Amino acid sequence: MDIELTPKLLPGRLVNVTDISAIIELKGRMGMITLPLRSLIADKKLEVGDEVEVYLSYARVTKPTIKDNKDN
Amino acid sequence: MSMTKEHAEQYKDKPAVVCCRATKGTVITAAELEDPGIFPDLEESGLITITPETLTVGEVIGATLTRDVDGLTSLTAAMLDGVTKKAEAAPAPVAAAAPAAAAPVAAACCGGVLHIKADSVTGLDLTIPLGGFGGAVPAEFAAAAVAGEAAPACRMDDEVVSTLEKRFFNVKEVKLGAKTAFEDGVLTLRKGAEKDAMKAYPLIKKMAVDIITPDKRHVHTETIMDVVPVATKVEGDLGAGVTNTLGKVVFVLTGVDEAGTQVHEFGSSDGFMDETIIFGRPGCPDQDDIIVRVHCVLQRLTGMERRGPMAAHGACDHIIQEVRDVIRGLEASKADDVVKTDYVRRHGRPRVLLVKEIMGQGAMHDNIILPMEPAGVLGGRPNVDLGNVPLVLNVNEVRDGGIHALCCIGPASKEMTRHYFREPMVELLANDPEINLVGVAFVGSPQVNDEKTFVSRRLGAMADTMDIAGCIVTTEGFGNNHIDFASHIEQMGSRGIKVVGVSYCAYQGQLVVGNKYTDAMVELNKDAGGFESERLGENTLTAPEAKRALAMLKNKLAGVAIAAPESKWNQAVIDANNKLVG
Repeated sequence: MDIELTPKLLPGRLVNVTDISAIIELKGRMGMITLPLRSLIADKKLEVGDEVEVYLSYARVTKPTIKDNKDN
Repeated sequence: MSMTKEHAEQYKDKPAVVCCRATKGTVITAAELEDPGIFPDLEESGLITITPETLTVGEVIGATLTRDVDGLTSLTAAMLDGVTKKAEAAPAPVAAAAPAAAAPVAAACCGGVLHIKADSVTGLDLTIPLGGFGGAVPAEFAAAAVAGEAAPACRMDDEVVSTLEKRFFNVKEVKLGAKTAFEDGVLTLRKGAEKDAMKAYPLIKKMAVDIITPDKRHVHTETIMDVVPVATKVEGDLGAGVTNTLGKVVFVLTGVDEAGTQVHEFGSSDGFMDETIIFGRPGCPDQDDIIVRVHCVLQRLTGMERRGPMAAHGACDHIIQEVRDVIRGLEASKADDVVKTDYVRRHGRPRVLLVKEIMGQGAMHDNIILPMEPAGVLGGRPNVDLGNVPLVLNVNEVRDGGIHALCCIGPASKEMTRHYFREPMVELLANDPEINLVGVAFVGSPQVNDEKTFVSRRLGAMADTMDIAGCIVTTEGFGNNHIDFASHIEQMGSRGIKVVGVSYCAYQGQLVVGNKYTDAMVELNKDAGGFESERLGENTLTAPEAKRALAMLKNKLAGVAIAAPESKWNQAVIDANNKLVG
């Protein structure tokens, strides 16, 4: 199946900011992304409630875990 | 990316652009040409330029290059020898075409279509004895068409298989009291009924029932898990006989867990009801409905496990059942409205199947199929437990609440239980005299690609046995369910079945996969930005989209080409199509 992963510019909002990372909640509550602060670009100190935007696509599993099932 | 021969035939009237560098003396074949499907993107980025001099694919195939050309060059006559000029449309006298058309018409009188195409017409004088497409084809006509063989008997009548009668009893007031009752339009709900429901569902830690009238909608709500009509069987099984239904009232199920996490997190409709609900959508409460809100607080962390939402829906159903038991005995003469709907076989018309992809990834991504009571829970089978394989319901089984939705995550695009109770696509197809709706196939959408392929192939195999000419495939929500959605369309299209797809895509839910059969698609988005808007029911299927889908299907059945879509979602296209179908 030829599935195309296309990044889309999605708006979101900071819902948590720590000394090392920030959590973005995507609009429509379609997921949370935790990023290190170095991955955020801003002209001011980050604050909860800041609106952000990020390019994101669906995520595809490329290498499934092979479980060593000893019961079988 | 070069094209295949088949692809080139499909795009023979599109501009011809070489995909790679080609040298003088090269004879142009499909392999030398770029796929016109990606031209809008290439033009937008300035990689190609199409001019009025650019020849078409059909014109350049077989011609020889007279000089070297770089990749992505638009081909013109100056670069080629042996160009096949596009055949001028030969004026086809219709009189000559009419006898030729006669044979297909007669041969296809049972479910076929008449398609006459002429590039120019003069002195048209056409007589087609089709009996208005609704009557029997005259015997002499049919006999002539099959060259002396006896014409097969051809039914063109409407056969009523079964009738469903819904009696509506309108509710003027809802109150809490000592005993559940319904009298003179006043519905009384027993105080404490929720406590009994909680005994059956220990995962529910708190439960509350309150009443929200149309004049007081600015009330806070936790996420809306479902909207459920109140109906009960009086006579017959689900899908036939008589159903008593309460009008102007609807149950709304809301839920959080003990930690305050919304049960439908990742797309929640909590907020103020007047802001978070699109009233009047098929799945939503109407503006003038009284809302009975049933709120559940689930055991911590069970909101995203299957058992949590299942308990909430079961407990709500337990309360509704008390009302059903009361309204079952209402006198028919006291009904405010009686609606009779027939399940009809329209013989002689194109057989059409409606496929509704429903969610089947687990937890609230599930549906209870064919419960004992309309829109109920008890006695139904979850599609997840059935392996998500396609299951056909007849049209009256759907209208009679044959699907209880546990409702997937996106408030704007999820189809709630009430949606299936008055599904606009079902109603339109069932009532159209030009087609024969054979049934509604519900197919679950599993999480894993292998399972998606499995259920989709079963759908295709089922379609093989149904002798259908057309199909509309709809889906709720967006995400990886679009993979099987596109696959369902391919399963139909590859069998020669004319197919139309209906989904929310717009900006946020753009399709991740497509195929050559996804050429007639109807967009459900109503949000200005094309997003999951978190407003309940906003991007679900409504009457205008159903009309567009049916118009597209009829066009395809009649052999009328569907214009190619733009490369990106464009509301102007939707507005124009809405004007076209009225």
